[in-house]
Amino acid sequence: MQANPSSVCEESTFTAIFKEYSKTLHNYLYYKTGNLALSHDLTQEAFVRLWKNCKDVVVDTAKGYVFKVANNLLINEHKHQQVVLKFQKLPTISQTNESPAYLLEEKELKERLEAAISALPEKQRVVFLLSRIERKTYKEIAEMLGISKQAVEKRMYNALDALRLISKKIR
Amino acid sequence: MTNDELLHKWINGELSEEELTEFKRRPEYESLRELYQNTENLKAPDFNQEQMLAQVLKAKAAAPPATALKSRVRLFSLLKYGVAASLLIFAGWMIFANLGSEVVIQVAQGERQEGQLPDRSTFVLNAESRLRYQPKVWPEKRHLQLQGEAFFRVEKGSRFTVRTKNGAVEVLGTQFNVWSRGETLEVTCRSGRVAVRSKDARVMEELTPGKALRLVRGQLQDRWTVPEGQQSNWVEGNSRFEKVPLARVLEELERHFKVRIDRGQVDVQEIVTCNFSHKSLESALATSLKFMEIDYEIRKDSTIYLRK
Repeated sequence: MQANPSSVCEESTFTAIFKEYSKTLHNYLYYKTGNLALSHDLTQEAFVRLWKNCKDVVVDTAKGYVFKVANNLLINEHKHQQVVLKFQKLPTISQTNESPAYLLEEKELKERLEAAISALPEKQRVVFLLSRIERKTYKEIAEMLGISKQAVEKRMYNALDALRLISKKIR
Repeated sequence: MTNDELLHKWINGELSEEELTEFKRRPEYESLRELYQNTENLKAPDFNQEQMLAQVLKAKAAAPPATALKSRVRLFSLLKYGVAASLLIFAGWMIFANLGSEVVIQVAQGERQEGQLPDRSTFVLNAESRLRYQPKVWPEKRHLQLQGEAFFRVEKGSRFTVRTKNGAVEVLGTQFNVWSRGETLEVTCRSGRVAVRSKDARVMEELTPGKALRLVRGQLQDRWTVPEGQQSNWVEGNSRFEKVPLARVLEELERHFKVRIDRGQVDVQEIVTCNFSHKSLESALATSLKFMEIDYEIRKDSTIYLRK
């Protein structure tokens, strides 16, 4: 039995927390703002504050802490700018041998999807991307955003409804 | 429609065989499958995690957590003093270099000071309060440092920030009051919108006209609405208190009337909601203390003795 629970002030514990959540936080901020530099800065700032205030935060609440801090900082920075999201597309083996015409079509499709996702209302976009790209469950998303599971369902439903129609239009 | 159970189960990969067969029969299935196929390999842009971690860990050197410090003090005590000394010299130089460009307004007990900022925003500084700002950076950066209490009427423009040691208050153009003493920050919004942020940014609250809040040690302690018809505040000659320890009312009386109050046996931690007018000491004492059944006696040396 250990007398002291591991503290956020322990460098190894902090590093583990950082590795576990920094990417999710960064991507979440990117989905929300479409601003890479801002997402990077806010992620870093949130973890700096966690590190500086490590005495006041227990391991279990560290994730909530960095999300809350980043969100609060964001309220100041982010004033409804136009969001333009860009994604990486991981090459799949089948893709590399496709004809140039097919690849071009693929590229076009990707750009259209990016535009459609960017055009979603912020709340729907964040939920859709956390579910689709980050593969988060509704429960995890609800916790992350501090909303109910029903709200996640609703946003997801509306996002799919909009995107489904747009990807139909592409063809 | 939004509580479409099958759809949500499909999204989270929780469908059973039969449910999946049923789901596939839906008219919208094909378009959903296509959307999911097209988004299958999307990925957010990478960032350099290792590099950021190194940056974050470096922040420790600037403000080391207390617990970590203890174990290092013995080993690096000499180094630490060296660093501390050079930091002090650097800080001293910074203060000195900036001294000429800073405006400091300090108000003593029993006084108040009105003033205008470079952008024609105005402030009224209450007794025993201090306001600092750098006119050089105005109006691009409208930043003020406040200790104590002040009421602001802010001209529209860029973000206007009042920093206190308990948190920051940010607005674009509005009228609001800030009270920051000890570990308490209290903000009342008169008009416009006001954002209040605790020092560690953990708490972020917005205030609309007539609303007020109090942060104690960075935590939101209370939010309330200033009653209709009682919007006047100390600037107009009426100090209002909402669920505060009696000690704070007494301190404010001392501040305004330049008196000393001997608390005697009175429990100053008792929570009270009251107000007092600045017209005269007698009426202020009467309104704030009488209904609490506290007797008082004003002596010649402007000391007031309280008795329960």
